[in-house]
Amino acid sequence: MTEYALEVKGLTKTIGKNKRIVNDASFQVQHGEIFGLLGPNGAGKTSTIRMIVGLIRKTEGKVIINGKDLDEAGQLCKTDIGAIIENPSFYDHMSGYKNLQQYARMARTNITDERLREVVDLVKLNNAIHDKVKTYSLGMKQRLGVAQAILHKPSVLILDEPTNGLDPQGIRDLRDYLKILTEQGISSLVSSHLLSEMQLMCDRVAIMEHGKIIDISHISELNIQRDEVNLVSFTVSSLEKAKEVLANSTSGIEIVEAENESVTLSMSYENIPKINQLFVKNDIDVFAIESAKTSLEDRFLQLTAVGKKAEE
Amino acid sequence: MLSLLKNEWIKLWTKKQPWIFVGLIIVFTLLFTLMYYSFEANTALDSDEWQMQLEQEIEQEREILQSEDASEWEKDFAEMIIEENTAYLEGGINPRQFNNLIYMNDTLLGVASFITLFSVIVASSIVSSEMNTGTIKQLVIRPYERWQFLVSKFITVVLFSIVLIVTLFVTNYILGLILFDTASWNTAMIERSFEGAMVETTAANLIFSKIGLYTLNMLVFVVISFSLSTLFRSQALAVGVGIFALFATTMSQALNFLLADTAWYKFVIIPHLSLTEYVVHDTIIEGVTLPFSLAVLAVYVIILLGLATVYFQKKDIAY
Ligand SMILES: Nc1ncnc2c1ncn2[C@@H]1O[C@H](COP(=O)(O)OP(=O)(O)OP(=O)(O)O)[C@@H](O)[C@H]1O
Ligand SMILES: [Mg+2]
Repeated sequence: MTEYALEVKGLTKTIGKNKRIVNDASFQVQHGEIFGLLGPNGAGKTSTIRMIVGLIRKTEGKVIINGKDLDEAGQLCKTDIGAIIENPSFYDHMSGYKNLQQYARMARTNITDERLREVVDLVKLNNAIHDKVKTYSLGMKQRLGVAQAILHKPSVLILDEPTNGLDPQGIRDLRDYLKILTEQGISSLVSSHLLSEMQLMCDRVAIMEHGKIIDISHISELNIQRDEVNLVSFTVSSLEKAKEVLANSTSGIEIVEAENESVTLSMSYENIPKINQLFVKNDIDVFAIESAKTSLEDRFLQLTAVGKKAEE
Repeated sequence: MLSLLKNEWIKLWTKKQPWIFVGLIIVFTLLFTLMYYSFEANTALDSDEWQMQLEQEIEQEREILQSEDASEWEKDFAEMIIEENTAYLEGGINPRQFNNLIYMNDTLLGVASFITLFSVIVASSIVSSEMNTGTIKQLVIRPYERWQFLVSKFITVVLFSIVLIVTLFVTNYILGLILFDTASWNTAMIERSFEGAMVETTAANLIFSKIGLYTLNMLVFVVISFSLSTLFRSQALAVGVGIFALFATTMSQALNFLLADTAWYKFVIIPHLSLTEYVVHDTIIEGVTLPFSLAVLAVYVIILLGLATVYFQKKDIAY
């Protein structure tokens, strides 16, 4: 088995004279891994993916799929790939099933009717699969998009904003079948600008901005760490009193925000019980304590210019 | 590759449009035939009378030739009629007789312009519509070369236009059998052009060379609109240019007359877009014969398809 399912080296796309929409991007997706590509709108995620699947030509760099170079063995590489690029489009005047049959015919392996039904089952489109695609909702099209991507059992799945248009149940389903596919050894590259999703779905995440990969980390590294500073909000009976108590205490804890009956504090995890005690002692009722589990978001905002602007 | 072709064929016929086009060809053929039947069939003459009538006409025209107040134009016309009638008499062909093949020869190309129009519309949309809806991206990420998609689409359009031609031919033939007497394919026939040029040949020869040349001609229009719509991603533009070219051919007679002396005109595509002229003419401009026209068209076709293929092979698909 090759080292990586997908390897991208120094990928660059220049448009016009000097507009670099993807700038020297490199990352590797391991076998059986779900790798996230996270970035704000216009970061260059779709452009990166378009180069990987050969929709647009790369200005520089290499794409290697299961050890095969895209430039040298394009068709072999494409046999290994299943993809959704931005919103999938279909032949509106045909049924979902007829659309899938089109893609089945283009596969290099024989795709049986059972396989088609199996995939339709997996994406839960059984009831609508024989209706014309023009009657589908956005979410149904997205599911059909997933279906056409996994139909031929690709070993590398590339999904650009796959949750776009899906309802919470749909997102959950997507996550679930991604997990199932991963267990079968399929590797995935998933792009999104939604941090919370990436956190739940991916093993590793690359953060992209202005065409550059600025960070690659394991999700576990990004998740809450005990001594790290977090945002915690307390919903209390009296905001005024709470502020006063905090000001008089020696904890040195900073109030980030105080409105709508809740104070948001920047503090470490360990101090939560202490502050709670402090409030209770001073006759302040505490109705809720919420830790904003936004470490990935924090990281993201810290790393990207969007965050920098917000801080200023 | 065969599966790509199958896909294209299915995609085409699951739309309503091609069925409507086939239906329209049938309807137009019917209408055209009815018109022809009601006007022309009245002038039919009995088998005994026709020779007499032709001879009478020749006599009348001779008188015109001899009379002194007849104009130059009238005399030319009289000469033409005499020449024609003599040819009919010598060939033993009754020009006022009706049979299914004469009907076919007269009407077959009557609605053929619609075939070109419909083929041009399909050719212009088969690539550009997939670019506009974005379905193209789900095609080119499959394990095929891009040119293979283009080739299968092109073949599909060509097959579609052949379906239209066959529809026309079959409808026309059946109507002929119903409405007229059945004649042998070997029946002698005379074909005249506007200027009076004449050829005498068999029905089969005449009808099949007409439809063959027409088909070749139509394929050139298909190539033009297919290539342009691929290059410019615009169906409207491609249909527009296709229709413009179609009109240009109706004016080509005039252009041929005006520009025949220039050295470059015979290398322009326009005079070669009326190939059916070759049914009655050996040359359409001096020195321009059928092989020459075909060679010129082949060069244009190769350039257009080549450009479209190279462009499509390389272009960034970002929509
Ligand atoms: N064909 C093109 N011509 C010019 N600029 C382009 C083209 N395609 C993309 N861009 C630019 O490249 C940048 C990256 O676009 P891209 O679609 O890759 O971003 P993205 O990360 O996928 O964003 P989103 O989250 O909105 O989908 C954008 O600034 C965009 O304006
Ligand atoms: Mg995008």
